Amino acid sequence: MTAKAILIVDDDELRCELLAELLEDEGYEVRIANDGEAGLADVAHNPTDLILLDIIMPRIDGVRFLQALPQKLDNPPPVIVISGSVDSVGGRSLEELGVARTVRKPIDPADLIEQIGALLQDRAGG
Amino acid sequence: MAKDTQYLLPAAIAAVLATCLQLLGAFQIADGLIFDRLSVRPTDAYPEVVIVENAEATSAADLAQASFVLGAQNVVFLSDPEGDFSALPPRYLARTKLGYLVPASASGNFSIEMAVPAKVPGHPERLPRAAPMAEYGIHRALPTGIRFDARRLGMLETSVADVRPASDKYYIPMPRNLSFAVLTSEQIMTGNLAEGDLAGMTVLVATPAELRSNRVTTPLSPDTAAVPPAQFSAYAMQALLTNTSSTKFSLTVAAALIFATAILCGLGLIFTRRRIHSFFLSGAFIVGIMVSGWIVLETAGRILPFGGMLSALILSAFGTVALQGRRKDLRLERALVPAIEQTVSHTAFRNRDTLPDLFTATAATAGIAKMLLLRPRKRARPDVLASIEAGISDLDESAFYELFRNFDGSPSIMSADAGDVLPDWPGNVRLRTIGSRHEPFLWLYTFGDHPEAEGGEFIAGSIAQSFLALQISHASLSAQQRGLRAVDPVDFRVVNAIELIARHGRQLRKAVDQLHSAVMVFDVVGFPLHANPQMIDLLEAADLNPQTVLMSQVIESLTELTDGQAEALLRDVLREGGEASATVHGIPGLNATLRIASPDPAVSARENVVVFEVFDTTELARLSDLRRAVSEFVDVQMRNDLETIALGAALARKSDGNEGRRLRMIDRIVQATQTATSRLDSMNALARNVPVANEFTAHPIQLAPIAEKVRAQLVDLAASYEVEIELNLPGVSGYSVGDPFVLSKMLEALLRLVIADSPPESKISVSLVEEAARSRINVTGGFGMARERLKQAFAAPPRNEIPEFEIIKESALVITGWGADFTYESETGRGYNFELTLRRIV
Repeated sequence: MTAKAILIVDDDELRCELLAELLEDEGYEVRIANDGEAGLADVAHNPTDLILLDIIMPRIDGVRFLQALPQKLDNPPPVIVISGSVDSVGGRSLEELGVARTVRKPIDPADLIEQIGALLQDRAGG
Repeated sequence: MAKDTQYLLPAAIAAVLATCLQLLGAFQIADGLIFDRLSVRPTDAYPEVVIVENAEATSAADLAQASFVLGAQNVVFLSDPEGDFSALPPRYLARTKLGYLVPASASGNFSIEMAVPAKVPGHPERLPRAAPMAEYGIHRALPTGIRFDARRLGMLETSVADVRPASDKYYIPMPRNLSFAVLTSEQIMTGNLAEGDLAGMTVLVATPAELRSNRVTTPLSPDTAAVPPAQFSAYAMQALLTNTSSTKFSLTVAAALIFATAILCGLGLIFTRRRIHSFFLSGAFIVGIMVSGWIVLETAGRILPFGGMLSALILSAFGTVALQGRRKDLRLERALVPAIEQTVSHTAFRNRDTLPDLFTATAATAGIAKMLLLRPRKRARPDVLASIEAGISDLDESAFYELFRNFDGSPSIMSADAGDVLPDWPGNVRLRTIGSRHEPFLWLYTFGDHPEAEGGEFIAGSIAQSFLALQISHASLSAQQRGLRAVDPVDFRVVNAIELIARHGRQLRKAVDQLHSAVMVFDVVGFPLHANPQMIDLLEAADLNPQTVLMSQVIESLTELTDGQAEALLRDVLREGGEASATVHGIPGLNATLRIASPDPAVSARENVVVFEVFDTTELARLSDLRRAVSEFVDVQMRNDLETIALGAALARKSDGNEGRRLRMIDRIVQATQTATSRLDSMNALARNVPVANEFTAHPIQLAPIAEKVRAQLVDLAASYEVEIELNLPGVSGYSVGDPFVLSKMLEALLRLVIADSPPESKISVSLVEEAARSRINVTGGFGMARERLKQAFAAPPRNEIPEFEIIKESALVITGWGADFTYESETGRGYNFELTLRRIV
């Protein structure tokens, strides 16, 4: 069975490193992009099953990323937003922007792994 | 000058009055006393007269001859010795005179009261002699002559001196140091004296009685009759012989002098502007009169009409000064009253006609359920000036007229029970008589029967008192305006005006003292009493007239409160006193609060005003924004750091004997902890700086909201230039280092510059790009200008014309302190490109 590919889009390199190690321990294939622009480029060229997205980032922030993602891919992967306080942008909720789930910072590693698993299982089942 | 001649009227009146008094002799005492003071002064002249006491045994002729032998010029017998002078040589006979006392004549015609002795050949000439003339008890004059059968007979003294004074009587100086030698006839006859001892002297021969009895009071001894007739006659002869006798001016000349004095004094005072100068000038005139009187007396032997002149002077001075004062008052009144009325007319006076409406509005706001404001009329139904839920038909007319019969017109703010007059009204119906005595009003009202009605009496009292004060002030101040005679003096009206304008100045000052606040003061009746310029600007911006606006309108216009909410808020403040506040809305770029304050009417019945104050809370809002930004930043960053720590801990826990991984995770946790600690330290320092309002210290801020806010502020301006502002911002802004206030002002100034230099239908772009370590704001668009010219404008901003250059220059200096940078490009026809680069917090 091929490992599920997860793309982490976050400008905090240390957090990305730890998150990637956590997910790799769970058997996922993890890639990292440190801003929205790099993330869009990565997802356009590599098959991706799930995206973990931070909102506040340089160059292209998380919201712009969400807006641009459907334009890059016909069938974009689900996105889990890891956010501290952002629930909506410009009067639109994150769900309306295509976000599958939102995880509040600071994340509980076990809870994150559980949500990722559940989401991927839903996608596989759906 | 033509008007100034009116000031001579008091002088002329004073002159006429003083002349009349002079003619009536009212100043004889005064004139006499002044003359006495001058005439008793010491003299350098030697006596020209020697008195000889004649013993009965001595022959008059022998005495005369002996005197002539000793050198006497004249020998004068004060009374006829009835001796034989036939042996006297003719040359001595001619120089020997005999006096005879004329009786006092009430009529002045001596023809019927005496007989003139016939002239006897070989006998000395007989001449009449008058007793000293008294003026109010003081003897100081002798007649020049007497009328006798249409003739005028010269008197003994004038004949001896061969002098004819210019008046009917002459005044005799009596210097204190002048004394006449008194010899006895024996001394003359026995040869005790040498020839020549009496050279040039006039020998006045008197009987012992004439030397010792019938003494009179003189200026030398005004309280004691000390001068005998012989001595008095000697003084007279001395004065005539030495030409020092004096006479008074004729009445015509005296009147002319009095007139001249009065007019000169009047003229002098007309041109004297200050009261103190008038005082000194009058003093100078008095001294001048005294000095000139002395000079005239000494040089010409004439006595000035001192009393008349001084009286004319004093009356003229007082009259002229009084007239000047009165005319000054009139001028002041003419100038001041319109000024007062114009000043006051901006508030209470102009609104006087709308008083009933204001009264009604305030009464309703205060919670009065029903009311009637009536103007009573004799033998007629009263006029209804204002009402709330009531009409004239509510009145029980018989009870009302009964009440009115007992009404004496005196205004009073005390209320009385009026339940009988309005039996159908609910609650406690009260009556207050307000208005002025000349224009009384009756105010009938009730607060209804709800539970809080009782508490309304205090505010009703305040309204009544305020209404009464306004009415009294108006009645006083507007009398002239309405063509009526001003009954109050101008100073009273000025005081009234000042009281009206400055009433409740304490609250006014307290309110105005608030920095940058806009203040308006209403009388509790609802009159706008005063609004400061800031408040006038605010009201006019809201299309409200500061002179006629109602209190509730101010609240409704400046806040988001509804009509009902505004009324309720106002009612609470009016009835309970204290303060209420509401957020001001609709003023772009300004965070402000409207505060409404009024003293508790139950405690402070006289201070019945309501103060409205709008104060700027922009600075408070800015500080609040900064605090929020700091806390949000801390929140976001701490969540990230805690998340890193949590991840590291979870991975360390899962190491399962992999010591290298465990240590690496611990190292990551330590790294995250240090980062978090470092952030907390820096935020702590920033948070401490936040309350320092005027130091634009850098803080973690989000730039996108700032750009959105500035755009919102300038949308209308851009629309007026037919220009569109396009924003190109991140969906969510990260944190950069700066001060939102400075950046807002700078961005606004940049946009204003570009808008003003943009062709219609063009677009201006504001973009924000956040990179790893820098955030860039670019403002592009407009027509543009040569870069050098733009550089010059920033280097030396044109003052008072385009403030934006100055704002940008100062802001650019401030932002460099945050590690930020401001650059620009510009080319004529190709537009501007302003770029702000700030540090971004990673």
